Amino acid sequence: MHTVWVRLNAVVFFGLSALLGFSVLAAISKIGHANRHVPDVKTLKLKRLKSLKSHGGVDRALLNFDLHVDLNPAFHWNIKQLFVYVVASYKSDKNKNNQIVLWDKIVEATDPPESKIIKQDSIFVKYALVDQGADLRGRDVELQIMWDHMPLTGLLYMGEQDKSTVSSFTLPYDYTSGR
Amino acid sequence: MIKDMIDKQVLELKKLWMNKRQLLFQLLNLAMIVFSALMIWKGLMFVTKSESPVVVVLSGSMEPAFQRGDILFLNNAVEQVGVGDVVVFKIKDRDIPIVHRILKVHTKPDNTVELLTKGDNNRVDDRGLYAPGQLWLKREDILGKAVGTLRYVGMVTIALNDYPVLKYVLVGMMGLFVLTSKEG
Amino acid sequence: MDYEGQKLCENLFYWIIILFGAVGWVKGYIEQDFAYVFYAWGVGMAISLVICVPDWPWFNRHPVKWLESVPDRRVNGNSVASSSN
Repeated sequence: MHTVWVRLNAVVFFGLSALLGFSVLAAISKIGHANRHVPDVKTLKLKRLKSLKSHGGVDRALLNFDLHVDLNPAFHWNIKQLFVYVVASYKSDKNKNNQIVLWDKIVEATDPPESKIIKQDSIFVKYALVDQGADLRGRDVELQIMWDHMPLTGLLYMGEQDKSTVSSFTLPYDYTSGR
Repeated sequence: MIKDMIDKQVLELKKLWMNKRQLLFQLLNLAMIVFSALMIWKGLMFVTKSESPVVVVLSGSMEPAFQRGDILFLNNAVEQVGVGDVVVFKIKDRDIPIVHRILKVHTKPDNTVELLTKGDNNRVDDRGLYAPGQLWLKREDILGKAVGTLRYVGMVTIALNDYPVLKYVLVGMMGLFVLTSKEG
Repeated sequence: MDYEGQKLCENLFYWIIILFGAVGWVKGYIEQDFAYVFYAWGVGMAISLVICVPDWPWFNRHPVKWLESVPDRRVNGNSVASSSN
């Protein structure tokens, strides 16, 4: 503590350690939050299948869906944003399980509370439902919404819609372009 | 004032050179700092089974989830990676690993997976970034799953990366301080 | 900076940063917004840097009292020896 350099070093080092400490405390203060406060998923279901086609040798389906979910409960002061995504999962002959993200959205903590409620009908998919082969016809597809918590400091953790409320639909047995 | 300080440091160094026992002690001190850092790194590598357990985000392709300079902690000891996970993967013949999110998971009957990734802030998926002809990532391409994050601290690393001269200045200064500062 | 000053300086920045951070933390927890912590910490940091880094006069109020210097016997001895030669 006898020279300017040593004092500068001491203040900066202690300051950064303190900031780290406060961040960790903030993370600790919200342990278990995700068990008590879960986004409220009211609706997620297929609205209409737009088309199911063979596209360059692989099957591709386009569809839209209804989504109504209140994300407010998941937010607290150590959450920077929520990454929300809708996953379609199905089994095929080649694969035990296929999981494909159809749509996603980033909801930031700074967004006003009313925009943390997603209530939209016939949302068109952002990413088409594309199989690895030609094996989509007649398959049962589950639609499930999941979310990834992005903290300011600390551990990332996922959440998903309760399995019992997950909706599913069966793709047609023939190619269609129902428009 | 600055010149005064530099002179002081030079004087300290000269004194140190005269006093061989003190010099040896300070060098050992420096070595201890370097080796404990190395030990922590290697220990983390062992626990997480990842070849780089801590990475700094260098691009904006995952904004706003991760900005340039955020620090990510990786874990590669997880068996399965799922859809929506943020993972760090490496493409053959490319030096810099990429941090992106998993968009598609195809699980084969023998439990191997084929994955497709995409950056949150990118418009298209990552096929264009993969090696020519490569359509899917395998589990072994993945260096780790992001499990924790720390904001802002990594800005220093970005600065060091953008201006290499800073690196030598910083390392030099730190070495100087360790050599010339006396305990207590 | 004298010894008392060093002690005071170290205690000062320690408590300033902790206090500002703690107040910000509580405020942030109530409002559920971490930005409060960051700004409060920043203010504490700035104050600490201004108060503790430069060598202000109030850190030099207890100058070390050295003992009276003793006349150097060795030099005296030498001169005595040379005179006796």
